[in-house]
Amino acid sequence: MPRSPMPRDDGLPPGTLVMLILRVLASQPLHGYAIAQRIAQRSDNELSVEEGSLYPALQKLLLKGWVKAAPAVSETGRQVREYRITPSGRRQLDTERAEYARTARAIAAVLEQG
Amino acid sequence: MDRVRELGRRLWYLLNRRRLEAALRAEMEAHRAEMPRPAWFGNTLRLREEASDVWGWRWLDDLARDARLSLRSLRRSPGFTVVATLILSLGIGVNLVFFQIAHVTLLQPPAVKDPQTLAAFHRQSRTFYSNGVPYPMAMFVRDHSAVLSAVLVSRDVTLAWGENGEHRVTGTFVSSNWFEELGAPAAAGRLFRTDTDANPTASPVVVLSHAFWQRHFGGRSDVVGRTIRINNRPVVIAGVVDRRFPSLQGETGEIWLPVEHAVFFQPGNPMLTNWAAHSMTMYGRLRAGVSMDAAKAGLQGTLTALASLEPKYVTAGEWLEPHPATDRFMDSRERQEVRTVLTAVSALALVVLLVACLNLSNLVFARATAQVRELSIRTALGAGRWRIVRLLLVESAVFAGAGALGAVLIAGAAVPLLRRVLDLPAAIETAPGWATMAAALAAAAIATVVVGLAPAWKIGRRDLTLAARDGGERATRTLHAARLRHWLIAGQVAGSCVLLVFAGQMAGSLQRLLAVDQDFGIDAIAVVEPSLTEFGITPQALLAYWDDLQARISGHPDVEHSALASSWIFSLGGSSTTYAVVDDVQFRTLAVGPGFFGTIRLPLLAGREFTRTDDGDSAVIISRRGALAMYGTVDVLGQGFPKGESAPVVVGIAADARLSSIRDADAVELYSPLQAEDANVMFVRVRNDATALLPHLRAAARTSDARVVADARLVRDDFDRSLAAPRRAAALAWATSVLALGLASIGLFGVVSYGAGLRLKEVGIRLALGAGRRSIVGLLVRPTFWTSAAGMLTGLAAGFPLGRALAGSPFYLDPLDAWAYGLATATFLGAGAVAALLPAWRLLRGNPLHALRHE
Repeated sequence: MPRSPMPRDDGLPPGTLVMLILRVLASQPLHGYAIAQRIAQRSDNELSVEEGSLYPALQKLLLKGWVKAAPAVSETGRQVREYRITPSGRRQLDTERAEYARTARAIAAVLEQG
Repeated sequence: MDRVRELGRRLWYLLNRRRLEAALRAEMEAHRAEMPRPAWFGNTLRLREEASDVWGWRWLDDLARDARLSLRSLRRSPGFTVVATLILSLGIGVNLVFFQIAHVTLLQPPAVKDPQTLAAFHRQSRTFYSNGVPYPMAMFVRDHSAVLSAVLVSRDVTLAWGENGEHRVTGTFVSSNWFEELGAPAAAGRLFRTDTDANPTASPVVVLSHAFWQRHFGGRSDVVGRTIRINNRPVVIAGVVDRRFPSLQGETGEIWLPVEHAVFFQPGNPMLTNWAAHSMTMYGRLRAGVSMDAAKAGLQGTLTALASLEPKYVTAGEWLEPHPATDRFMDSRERQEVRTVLTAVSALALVVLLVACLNLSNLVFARATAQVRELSIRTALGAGRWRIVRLLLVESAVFAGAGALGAVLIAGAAVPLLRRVLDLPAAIETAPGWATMAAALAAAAIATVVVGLAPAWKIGRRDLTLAARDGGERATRTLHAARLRHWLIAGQVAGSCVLLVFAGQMAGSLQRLLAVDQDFGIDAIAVVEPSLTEFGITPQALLAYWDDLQARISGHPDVEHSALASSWIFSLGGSSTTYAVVDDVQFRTLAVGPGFFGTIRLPLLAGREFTRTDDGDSAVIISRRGALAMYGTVDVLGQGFPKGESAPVVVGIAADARLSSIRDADAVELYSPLQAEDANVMFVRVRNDATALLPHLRAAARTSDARVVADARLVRDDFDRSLAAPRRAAALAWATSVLALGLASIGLFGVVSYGAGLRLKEVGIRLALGAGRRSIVGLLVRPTFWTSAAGMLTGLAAGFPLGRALAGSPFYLDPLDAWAYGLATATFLGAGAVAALLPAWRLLRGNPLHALRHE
């Protein structure tokens, strides 16, 4: 069966997962489950990040050097890794936000013309 | 920049993989545990793999898995693995050995200090050329040149040693700076030192070669300081030079004496003061920053100054041509020869490698064919075609690696052996260096591609899923009959046949040289070489000396004839002249005395020998080929030479020979009457045992003048020395071709026996139905017969252009050598028949009917 190394964007607009993760990490370092939780909370449970997308995305962020991982212990006392955004991650977040905003404005403009 | 950092992080991940994967796993477990419904969490193993894939090391895992798989399956068939590795080791090993030999003997500069600033200097003008330089000229250059920091000279000489001068040894007179300038280490004692040994009044010392020391003194270190007698004069052994000290230009000297002391060993030798004799090989060490061209220009100035001082011996406008050590002191013609040899050698070695690879390819193919069932199961389980191809390629890579390793081992063992058998320079034995390793790896890479690609491609093309249905039997059969196999066999056969033809042509070339022996009966000719001027015999006294010696020798009952000549015969080169009438013909010249042709037993086709009254202005004798080339007829007695002149006249036509250049089959020879001052050697035709007469000849030379220490040897010795290189080359060619033939036979054997195995059932049925054994053998052998025949014809045909390309110097092959083709055909047919019939015979002997009962 073919396997895709890229994250699948279940329930999310395409290409926005990385931006969302970077955004929640920009406020504070979090571990994997907490990232998924935080995105769900902030979107009033509209967006749910699946594990199948989350972990490949996190590996990609590590590979790109946008986040760093450090060993940590979760609130329930389990061994996890806490992800912390790096300066280049912040720059990437800014770029992606700007990009997203521009696209959203453009889409909205098209829709409003009726 | 980002990409580089990313690559760094990828590598970091690879190095810390175990820890990071464990962390990911723990993290996912935690995630799962914290979820309200853990069952919703996906397949952890798959999620982990997907996450890890981001780092891009998946291919490495697959490769490792393939390698493990190949190793496991190779372990299951050890026979195949051993044979395959051996074949590749031999194929690559031959390349390594040839590469090593070529590298040391042809490419690498001699292993001396700073070869890039060292050059040999030949004396040259527009009309004149000599590779020798008069000693006083070399010394003048040493004292006055601004471009050279040192001048070295050497001269080979035959010396007598032992209490009564009973042994002969080739020695070299060298300037006392020789060992210092060349950076030679001593194995014992000390070598020459400029401060002490340059002084002609100091007590003379000798330096021994390592081989001489081992042979005559058993390598004992207490020989240092001992006194031995050389040319009947006492001399102290100063030391022994290191075993690896190379000869610069293939000199064979075994002891060294300071040239400054030459007169001590050869009283009266005018060499150190004679401006007319080109007695020295001269080397120069360039000053720092001076290029070869600058050195040439600078030395021209020095020679111009010398020409005004010694106008009688040095002409204005002559120069010293540098031949750098990095070119192994070769001139352009020699370099061309070396290129020919190198090309031929690498082509041969590559043919062997190719044959080995094709052979292995065939084996791998046969195995993969047999594996069709296994491979089809893999396909059924989801392996893509690329995966299968990769599996087979990885398997070849495993062989290539093992083969390269085996080759290095083989080369390590074969090189010292070859050095001893073929008498190659000791430098060859240095451990395989980086260049050798790189060559092995390159060969292994080629091997992987050639070996792995063909079977992989062929198998990959088959629809393996279909094969799974009948257990792979049909696919196996189709693959076995595939055209590819025939190509592989034909390639091997062609490769080994072309090598056989080449070896045959080499043998033919050598045989033509050896035939000279039968024509002249060289075992019964002795040569006396007294080097009279070296012992102070004046030119005026030469004639009397030779007359006296000849009379003395002729008195011996075993002596049949004797005659004088300007140089010994059966050398590799010699001097030659061209004439305007036929300017493309090189006349090889030799000055000979009365009775020469009778002594040598070279028949005169017409005319007479020289008499004492002939001189260069009155008479010449030319060879048959020379007469044809210049006059177009052999009926030229009494004609002027060269054609059109009135004198000298042709007084004799000699049969064609190769006295002055043994390797040139088409040599054209010109004999002129010898003047006493040009005489250097006396040939003596002996009735009985010529060897037994040698001491008598030496003694006679001494009796004629007590100062003389003469060398007396058999013409056979000169002949053998000239033939050493062609013999070596022929031996190497034979060894190589036999190896290739062996490989091709193994290949043939493998294919036929494999086919026989596959057809066991069919053969059983045919036998049961009453088929004759003969028809069964035909059935098994026929598929490979035409293939082999086609390969053989291709190989034989390829022998012609090869022989044509190497028809000239130094191989002198005959592209139409019937013997070579006959021999190659016979040898291959013999080996091929055995290889093909043996498995068929084995199959019939073990009763194939049994096979039926098992079904």
